[in-house]
Amino acid sequence: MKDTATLTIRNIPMRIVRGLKSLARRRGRSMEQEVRDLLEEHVAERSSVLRQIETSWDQQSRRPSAAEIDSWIAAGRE
Amino acid sequence: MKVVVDTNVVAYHLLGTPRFAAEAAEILEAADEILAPALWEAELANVIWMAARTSVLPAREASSRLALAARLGVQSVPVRTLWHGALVRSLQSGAAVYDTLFVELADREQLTLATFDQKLIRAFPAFAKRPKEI
Repeated sequence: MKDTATLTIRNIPMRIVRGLKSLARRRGRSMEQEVRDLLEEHVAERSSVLRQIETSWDQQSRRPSAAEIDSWIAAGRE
Repeated sequence: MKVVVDTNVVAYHLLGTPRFAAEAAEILEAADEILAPALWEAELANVIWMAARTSVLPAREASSRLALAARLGVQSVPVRTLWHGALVRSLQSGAAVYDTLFVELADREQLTLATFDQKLIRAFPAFAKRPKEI
């Protein structure tokens, strides 16, 4: 079974369309991709996102300590 | 369950901090709604930047990691709606406004603030708790 669908959404205000075009241009992506990502961002199951984050830890050189992260949060405040 | 989260809860999970990431995941997974003062966005972006600067995270991965954090569904509450209350709390407690913004939001919404910050938990025990204690 196909796991994608095509949606047609009417009456989108022009200011939203302009904003989407501008966002897509700045990120070097298509407006369609931008809309797909925004929808995904809003409806994705949080647990699936948490698992994706956990998988992404493999990309790191190491896992930083709590003290290190605390100092990074504080770094912006100094 | 609805909860306010401190930036450290998201950051510890996002970068897999040993001994804390699993506890952070549990609260993030259990909550139906998660709120934080909009300040959390800047704080988290700073953490990702520092992680890239210190070569913990490859620079090419930084944006993707931030995009994953954005998909956690944390509702950002404008700081402007909280800053008066936060300032009063800071004047009374000596805690920085950066911290009392989170406490103020928890109080206003009658929610618990999930945080790993022990100083904050000691200063505001009625609102701030470690995730595993919620």
